[in-house]
Amino acid sequence: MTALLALLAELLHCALMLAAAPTLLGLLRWTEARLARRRGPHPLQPWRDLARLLRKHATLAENASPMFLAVPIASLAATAVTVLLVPSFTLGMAFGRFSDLLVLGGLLALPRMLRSLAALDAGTGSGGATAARAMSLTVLAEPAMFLVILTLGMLSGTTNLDLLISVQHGGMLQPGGASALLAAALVAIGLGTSEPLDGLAEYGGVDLAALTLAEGFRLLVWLDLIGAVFLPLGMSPAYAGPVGWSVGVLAWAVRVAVLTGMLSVFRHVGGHIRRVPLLLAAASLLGLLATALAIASAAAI
Amino acid sequence: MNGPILTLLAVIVASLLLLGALGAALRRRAREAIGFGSAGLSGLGAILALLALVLGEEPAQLSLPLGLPGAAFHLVLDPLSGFFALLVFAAGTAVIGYAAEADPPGSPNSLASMPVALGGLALAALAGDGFAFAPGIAIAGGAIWATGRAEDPGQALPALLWVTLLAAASVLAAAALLGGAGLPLDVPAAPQTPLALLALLLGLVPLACLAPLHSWLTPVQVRAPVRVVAMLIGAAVPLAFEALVRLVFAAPDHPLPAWFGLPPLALGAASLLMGGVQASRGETLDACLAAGTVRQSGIMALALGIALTARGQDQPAVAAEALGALLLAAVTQAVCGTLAALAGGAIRRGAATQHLSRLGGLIHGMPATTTCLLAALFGLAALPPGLGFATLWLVFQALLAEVQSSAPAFQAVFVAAAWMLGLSAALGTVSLVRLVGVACLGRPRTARTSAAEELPRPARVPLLCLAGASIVLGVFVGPVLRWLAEPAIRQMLGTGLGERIGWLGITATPSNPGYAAVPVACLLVLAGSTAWWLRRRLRIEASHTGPAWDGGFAAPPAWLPFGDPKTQSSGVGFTPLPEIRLPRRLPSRPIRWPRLRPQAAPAVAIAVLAIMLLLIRWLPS
Repeated sequence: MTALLALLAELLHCALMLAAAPTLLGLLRWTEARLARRRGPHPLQPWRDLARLLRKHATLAENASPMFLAVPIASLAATAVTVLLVPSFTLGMAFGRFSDLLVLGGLLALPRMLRSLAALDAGTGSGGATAARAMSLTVLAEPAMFLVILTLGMLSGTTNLDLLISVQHGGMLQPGGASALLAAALVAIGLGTSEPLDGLAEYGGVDLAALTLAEGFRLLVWLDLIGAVFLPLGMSPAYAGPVGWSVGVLAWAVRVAVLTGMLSVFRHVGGHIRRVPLLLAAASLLGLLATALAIASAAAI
Repeated sequence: MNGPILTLLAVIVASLLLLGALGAALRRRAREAIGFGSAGLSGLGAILALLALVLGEEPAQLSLPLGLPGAAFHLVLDPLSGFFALLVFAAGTAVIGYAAEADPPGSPNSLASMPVALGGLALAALAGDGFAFAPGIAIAGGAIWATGRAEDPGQALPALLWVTLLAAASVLAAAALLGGAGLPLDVPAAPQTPLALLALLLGLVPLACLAPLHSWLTPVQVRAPVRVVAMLIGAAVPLAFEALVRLVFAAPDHPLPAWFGLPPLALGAASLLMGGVQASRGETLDACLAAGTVRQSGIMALALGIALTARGQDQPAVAAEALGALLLAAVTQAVCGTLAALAGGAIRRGAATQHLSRLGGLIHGMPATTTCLLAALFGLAALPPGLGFATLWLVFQALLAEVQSSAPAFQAVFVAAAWMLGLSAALGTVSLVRLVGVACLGRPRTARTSAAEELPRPARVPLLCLAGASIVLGVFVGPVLRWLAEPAIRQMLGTGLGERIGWLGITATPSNPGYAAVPVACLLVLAGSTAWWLRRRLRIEASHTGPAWDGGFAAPPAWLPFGDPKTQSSGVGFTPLPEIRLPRRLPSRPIRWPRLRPQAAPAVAIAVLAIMLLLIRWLPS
């Protein structure tokens, strides 16, 4: 029965994520526009865009290779798997056992690598610049990510996301200062690696739809990850059944809405973060500080 | 069963050496026969080594009537030697299979030396003591040098010869300092152990391509024939780690102090940084691939350092994790390193250049080679579900356990190592994107590159087999660890990963779920196939093609049919890190290695070995 409930929860989670990802993109654009005193597109505009793109034929660049066609599908697949692994409203879903933090980090790096290859495939100057920028940010982001995972592993005793959230749910990850620093570092990494799609202008039609959906998934995964690790309020085990799930879905919606609002405000205040390398360097420092705090507190105990 | 298998493996080694001598005598007509014969023998050796590992019986020893009185050669087939013999034979089979079809030797001497080189490496892998290891590695070095010398009489290859001879001499010196009993020791003489380790490190660090003694590798990789390079980095580099592991974990009851792990940790971190940065900044394909080997060696050294520290602090479970990571990294190097070198050679052959600024668009003319290069670099990078990611996962778990339980002085070191590991993972991805993206995707940068030709069909077989192996081994990392690495870990540490290895993946602790490689790969395939099926179902295919928007650059002139090469990325600016140079105090000019005439090489090698053997006989007394 527990296995069946876990599978049901996973299916419900899939449907929820699929519905939420384009809506989140729209909501983010709408909020940013409102903050800038513009009317902005309708929050459901990404759905209309997706429907339009799915009807359109794509035009390929003259020297596009088979890899160019494979990248949108592979990117969407990798991001979809991260969506399956990061819990939203309940713990102990069917694939919860596989949600290791290092695996998630790798799976988030995979679409970035694929999109950089696609950007280089057209052989244009702007594509090369996009790939170079994405790779430079990867070099800055991954060491910070490793420090964050190391410290989370030290605080909770595991790198499995499900178990880590359970520990956080049972009582705060101690020490609280380290936990807060880690949250800030993760936010910085998430913001720093959220490059827009401007280097992939050659894509159109169904391929662009796949990439847009993947972008929505990626954003949602970051919000879910930060929210679930540091604010797992309302998350119940999968065997809690529909009542527990309903509470979890409500809590998840509030959490994502709050985080989306914060993200919009941050982008509005900071512009579309110009000095991303500094942000990522700050993430590394925050991670290092959190590690030092965790080690010091363990020694004190 | 191990006894007969060892005898058969010894016969194979002897046959390979004889085949080389035969090749020198029979001249060029025997080229194909020698090539197929060596590949067949090597393949048989790989099957026998795999059989020995899977059967998992008691170690067998074979004394050969060679060497000085009382210091005869000993061959041994235990899990560790079986593991490395499998790697050597597997890499050797692929290299010889490739060379027979795509890179035929130019002279009878170089034809003869390929089987000899493989025989020497196999002898070193099966060596039961320093007396067998040193001649094996020296023979291999001499043969590899002779293979490439006909085609590159420059300074690069003498460096290779000196590095292998130094490794042989250091192993003999270490064996002598430890009582002249060879590599497997019953009780290490405590006061002499640091000195022996120092001798071993001095000799094996260059062969293992660890920074800062790695600079000889790049000229070799750039100038030497591909069969030389592939044999060197796919088979010889892992063997340096076999010798290190065999010595430092030789006495189960007398673990070395924990601080012995610090030198390998420092060397590993330096190699990760320097190799990673150079791989993401190099101007030629081969220079980047050489730097990738340095980075991979850095991961192995880092794992060795963690294992030594953990064992010194009485944490056998963590040491087992780290040693498992080292062995997995050796598999990655043998499979993906060899594949990358062969694919680089195929590109050099097909496009007649290895400069990134002249390549581009190879995927159209060389799709199989591009796929193989992508598979190799994916395996070497830390992206799931590749072999490199499994290695990284194990190293990280060992680091995490060490940070939680080590003495405070070590904790800072391990935190720095974790940061460095993250940087190295990112630089691996950068190297992949840069090499595949600039060399194989985009527009051709020269007319010659646009006419690049794929390898002959038979020569593609070894590359495709290695590419398939890299993917399969990465996904089925649990069985690889269980069947190939676990016996060696148990032999070295007395304990293994045990229940932590499953069919689906590996776990950090028995109660914690870990890296489930098979389910993650299955989910990726399932999601990808669903997306592909939906795309096909929508029946929206690209109806036409057109020129890509080139950022507003003027139309290229008529004599540049593929556009102006200056308007596409040449792979600069992919990493924000500065170029790392050695301190100015070191000689800025390249070292001028003493040049040897080919006729003098065997005499020099024999003289060096004889002096070392005599020294060993004299030292213990």
